[in-house]
Amino acid sequence: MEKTITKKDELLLLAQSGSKIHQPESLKDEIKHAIANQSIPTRKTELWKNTDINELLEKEYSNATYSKLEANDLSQLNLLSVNGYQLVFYNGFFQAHLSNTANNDECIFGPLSENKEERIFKEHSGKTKIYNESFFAALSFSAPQDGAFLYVKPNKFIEKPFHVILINGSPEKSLLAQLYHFIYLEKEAQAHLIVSQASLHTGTFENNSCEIFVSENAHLEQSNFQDTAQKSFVINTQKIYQSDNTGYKQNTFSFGGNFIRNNSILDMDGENSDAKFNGLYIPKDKEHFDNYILIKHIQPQCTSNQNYKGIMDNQSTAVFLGKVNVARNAQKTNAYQSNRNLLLSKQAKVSSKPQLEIYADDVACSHGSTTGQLDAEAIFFMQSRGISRDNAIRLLLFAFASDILEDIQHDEIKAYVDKILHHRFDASK
Amino acid sequence: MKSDNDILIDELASKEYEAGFITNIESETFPKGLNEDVIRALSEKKGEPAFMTEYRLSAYKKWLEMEEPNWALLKYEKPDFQEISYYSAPKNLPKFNSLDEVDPELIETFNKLGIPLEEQKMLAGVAVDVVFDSASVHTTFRKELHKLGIIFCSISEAIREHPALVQQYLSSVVPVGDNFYAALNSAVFSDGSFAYIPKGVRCPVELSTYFRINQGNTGQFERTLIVADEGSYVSYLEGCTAPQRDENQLHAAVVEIVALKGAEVKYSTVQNWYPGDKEGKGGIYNFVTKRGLCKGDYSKISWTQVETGSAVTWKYPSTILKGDYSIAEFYSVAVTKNHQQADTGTKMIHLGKNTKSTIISKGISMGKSNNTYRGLVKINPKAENARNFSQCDSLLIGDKCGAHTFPYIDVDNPSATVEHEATTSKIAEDQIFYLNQRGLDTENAVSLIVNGFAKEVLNQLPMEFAVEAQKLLALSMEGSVG
Repeated sequence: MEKTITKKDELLLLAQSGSKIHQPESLKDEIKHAIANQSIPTRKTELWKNTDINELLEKEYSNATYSKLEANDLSQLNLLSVNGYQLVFYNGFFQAHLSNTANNDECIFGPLSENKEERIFKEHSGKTKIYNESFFAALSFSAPQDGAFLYVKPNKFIEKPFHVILINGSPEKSLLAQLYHFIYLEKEAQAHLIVSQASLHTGTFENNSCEIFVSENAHLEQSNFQDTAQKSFVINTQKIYQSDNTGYKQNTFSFGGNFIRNNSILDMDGENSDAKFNGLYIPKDKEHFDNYILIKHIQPQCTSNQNYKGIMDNQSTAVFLGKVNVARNAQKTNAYQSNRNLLLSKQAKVSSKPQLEIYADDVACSHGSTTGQLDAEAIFFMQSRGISRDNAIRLLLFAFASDILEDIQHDEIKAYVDKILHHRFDASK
Repeated sequence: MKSDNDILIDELASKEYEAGFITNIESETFPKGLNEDVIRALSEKKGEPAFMTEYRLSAYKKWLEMEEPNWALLKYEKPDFQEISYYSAPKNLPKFNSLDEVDPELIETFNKLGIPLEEQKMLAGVAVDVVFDSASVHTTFRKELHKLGIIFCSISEAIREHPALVQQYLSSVVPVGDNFYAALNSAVFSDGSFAYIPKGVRCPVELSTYFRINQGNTGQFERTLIVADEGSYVSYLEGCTAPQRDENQLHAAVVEIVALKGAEVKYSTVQNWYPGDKEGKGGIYNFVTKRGLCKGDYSKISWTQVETGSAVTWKYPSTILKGDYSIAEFYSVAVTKNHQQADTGTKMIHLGKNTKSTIISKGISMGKSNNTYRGLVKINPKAENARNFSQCDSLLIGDKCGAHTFPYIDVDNPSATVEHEATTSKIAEDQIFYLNQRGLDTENAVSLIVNGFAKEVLNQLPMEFAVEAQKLLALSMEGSVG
């Protein structure tokens, strides 16, 4: 009898044959262990209860081969364009001709395959044990095709943003694209990382993992823009490590994509640190967006803040699972979670799970969650003042999203998000 | 040096259980273990009709296929179900006509607990169905209730005398295979209470049952079924204390409530089972399935619970809002100290249009205990204009305890409005200072603040119960405020 190959084995074999990056040898046993012990999540897995991945698993995937991404194709996608460093990957392959790397006395920014700082990578890659977070994280971490490498040297404040652009899609077959990103900020460094995800064609499973290290007194801001194609699947797993007196801020904008699952796990392992997560998701049609955030307060006197907002239209579904875990030692923690959802259509669904797990007593933690629809009275009020119904709805939608928008510091990014929202809200009514 | 506050916290957290004593009444007990023969013998012993025996056996078969749930945030030694005796009843069980004939030792037990049966009967006007271990010993006020057509008796009696009603409603809310403990309960439940309120009748007294777990090594499997027919109203009280025991005792009860069109059921619980000693040794395992069904339009079910006891609590009184315009409420105070663990909350399943639910949950953790709120609010696609408001507040006293909040909110209908908010904090020093300054010592200040914290819930309890609940809360807090 021939032994049947499980989907897990199939994905593993595929990933390994496509991998060009080797993780440090010292992690070999642990990775092996992590892969053996984790299975593909099902609806019975607590963290994946509201997210069905059967459609993702039904497909037969193959490895991508290098194909050149034309500048024209890229500009067609209307991505955020900022004056900064840029790395472009197409189905997991680095596109040197579209990129603007850096290697100077301030920072190193380039693809992992050409990484110039082997020592830092060897020392820290896998240190957050990201491979233990889920099977998909282990899959991506253990056998990536490539990825972004960012190293900011001590005391450097880099004003230019680092833009990582991930394009997927193939006209003929379903591809598996896997990237692992390594971000390391030295002491007192400051940087802004932008990750844009988009599709040229349909049918790719993009499985990304990312490790971020923020050393003492350093600050990192991260902005994510997700607008991938129908029939594509995206899973992003990110693990962030914060030392003493650090700041980390993440803004995630999910505008489009058949299936997006964002996992962010934050270890606040230093005193006096601050973390902020903003999210805005506006799924339409049959799209499914799922955000999972786990913030672990390990050391005292840290603050964390989560503010996620969603507007669900058509038959779309959204999931928010935010968890704050306060360890016994993490006294004087301030943690706040907020998740607000607007349902615009009868078939839209949302599942919200803000969770607090607290083992320290001198803390102030709270969360709030609301789900509702547009206020009919507010619309009527505006109509009675001569504002058309469409305009009234547009105004209310903008007002709903405004506090996320207001919190963006960079004018270029703000204008970009504003433009997309205008486009979307105009189209929705 | 420990500050006054720390000493106080230690004292609060290590208060010994005050209602711990054992009553010596001879009882007939089955040998330990569970198999089909035990179930048949149990069913036969209780003189049940054939449908009940079948019901129990089918539940047992389902139970064998099920696994013990382990998703809750609880750590405990799994009970060995073959080490439990599944039937124990006081042996001398004559039918009493008056209280004088009741075993004096039993009366004394209740007196020690401050529940004078005769006083309650006369003064409070409460009909008390005393469940002592597993068999009903005494039922009062039966005749008065009978005049109104209200049936209030032990479930064994109901099975014998009103089999049609029982067959119609038993497991109509909690299916036999609903969960591991509900299946076990369905297979082996020994006794419990049954109440039926006929159409349009407003029950004039609060129906009340006092449970006591008495026999060492005896799992208690209570079964309660309350049916409120169209337009009726009933308030039902359940209160529990248990004597001190070293072995862990398992309690897996099932409570089912059916509210038909326009009916209202108010279900209140005060639970003070033995929580184990300071090291967390002994104590009751409380794995309870409580669920109500708002079956008809305009029906209402309201749960109020005060949880201060048990070593491990796994309890989620839930409501299915099936009828249009039905209302559900859940008010809860859970206090944990020493090594107690509580994973409790509610489920509100909105199926009908214009349904409304409210959840107010207050958790207080002390010592090395863990207190978890776990709740689900589900708005089904057809539940137009459903409304939910949830508020879960946690108070931490001492730095070794934990307070957790895990709400699940699933909304499948855009016309729904669902709100949830939760806070976790400790008693602020300035609050204590303010009260100190006004002449209250720290102990009284803490007690006052905790009472105020829980007031919103305690206010929901019926008068007779509210006093006892406040006393219990104060006892748990080692306070003098009541």
